[in-house]
Amino acid sequence: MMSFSAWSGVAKVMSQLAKIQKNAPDEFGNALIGVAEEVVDQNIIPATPILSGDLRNDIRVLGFFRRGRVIAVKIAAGNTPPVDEYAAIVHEDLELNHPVGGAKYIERPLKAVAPQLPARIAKRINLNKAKDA
Amino acid sequence: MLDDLVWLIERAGLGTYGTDLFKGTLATVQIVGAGPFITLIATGGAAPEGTHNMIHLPAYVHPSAQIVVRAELYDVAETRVKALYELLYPIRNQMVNGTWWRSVTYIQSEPLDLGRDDNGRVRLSFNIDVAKRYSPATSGTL
Repeated sequence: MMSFSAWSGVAKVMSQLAKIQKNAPDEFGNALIGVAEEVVDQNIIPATPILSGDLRNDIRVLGFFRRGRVIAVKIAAGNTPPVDEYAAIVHEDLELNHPVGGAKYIERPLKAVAPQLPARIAKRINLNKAKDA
Repeated sequence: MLDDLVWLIERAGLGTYGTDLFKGTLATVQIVGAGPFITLIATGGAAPEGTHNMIHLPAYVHPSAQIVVRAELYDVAETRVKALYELLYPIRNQMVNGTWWRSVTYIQSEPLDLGRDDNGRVRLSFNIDVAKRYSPATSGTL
């Protein structure tokens, strides 16, 4: 017994896949930037020690960067003088007492929100797509 | 986790707990002398992992710690911090103080100079992220 199948729409599927392949890194990277900016505003800045306010104002989301299959953003403090002289020490010196915020002001909040990040990035991708539609 | 680090460091002959090896930031008040002195500070870490078979306690935990070496002379602090760096880096898939450690990840490539402490001693530090089995005996000191 012989059977025959007729396939239609293959070209359309291939074209859609090519579009996903082309656009996905940018869509992911842009969503990552959006989520990182949210995390900075909602989690990192409130955890950052405040004296003059310069350190809080100096925290930036940099990127996104692509290296092979990795897409990443950097959250960095100490981007401008004079904050560059003390941002790392304030982050790392666990013996300093701060009335507001504390050491590890980037690392701690980031680790705390890490389990939520995949879902938040997915939601942001969908939001960005809805805006563009 | 800090107890596990104490176990590793003592076993390697790089420190003796209560003499030149301490836990916690408040330990700095106990430290008098030229050093080198090692301080282990828990920094929290990331969320634990569960498995289908482990529902009452985490299967794996991800604690982190900062290791600080202080000494009057920079070279003395540097030699000790380098020895600690090289001690902990290779640890993966092995028992440590009776608990399975899956990995140790370094956050920095080189120790960071934290400046001098209140007694004028140099402080060099590095940070580690650990993935290990939860241990009722030692995970309480995360």
